[in-house]
Amino acid sequence: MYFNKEIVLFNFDESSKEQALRVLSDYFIKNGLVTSDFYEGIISRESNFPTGLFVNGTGVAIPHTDSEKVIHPQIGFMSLKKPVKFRDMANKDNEIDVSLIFMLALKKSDEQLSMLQKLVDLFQNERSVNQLKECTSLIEFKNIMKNAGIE
Amino acid sequence: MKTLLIMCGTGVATSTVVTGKIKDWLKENNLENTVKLYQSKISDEINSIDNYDVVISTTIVPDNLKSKVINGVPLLTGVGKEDVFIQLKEKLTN
Repeated sequence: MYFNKEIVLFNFDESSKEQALRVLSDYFIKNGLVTSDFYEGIISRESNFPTGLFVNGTGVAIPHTDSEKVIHPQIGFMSLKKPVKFRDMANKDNEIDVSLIFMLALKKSDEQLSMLQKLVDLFQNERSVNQLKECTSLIEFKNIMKNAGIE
Repeated sequence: MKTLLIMCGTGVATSTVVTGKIKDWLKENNLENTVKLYQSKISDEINSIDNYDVVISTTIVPDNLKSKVINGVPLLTGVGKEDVFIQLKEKLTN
């Protein structure tokens, strides 16, 4: 269900995190999954509380914002041809070259606990992360996520 | 009973993951009945940090709070997570 709108974008060529987040946000807005100010929420969250994570040599970001802006839960994915810079979740002075973005539109926290745990476990699995970087088809992507227990 | 606050930027995503990981860890260490967990967003807690015995954050905290707060990001990346649990154990059992 988290991918039923199939916002899954491979090897996009974006020059900045803002541009990448704009493209992803527009898909969410167009599909009626979030409110029209979702992008602004994402950007403001990113500047106050960045979401870049460096795991096993790969930069991953999980942009998200307040659940009030979310109508239907959904996850969007984008892999990048060239990494874009996000700030580090743990240290705002540190920048991370991000090549995988999971945009999270989430509602109540307890319902999503197991999905989020699995997503974080997936990031810690080097093989799956490499598969995600190389993935170019929706079927393949859904398989990787299914193997990680996320559907 | 000790109080443990887990906070992130929105109180929705990363603090949820860390809360789950900490619940599992408390169980494994038979500490689950000695700690009361709270999950929140940093903007709601910035002035009440001192009300908790232990605070873990997955997001950046202001410099004046750094000494009080354990960085929870290693629980998300897996790198350095043992150190987080060591710090946590120290604070919870003291």
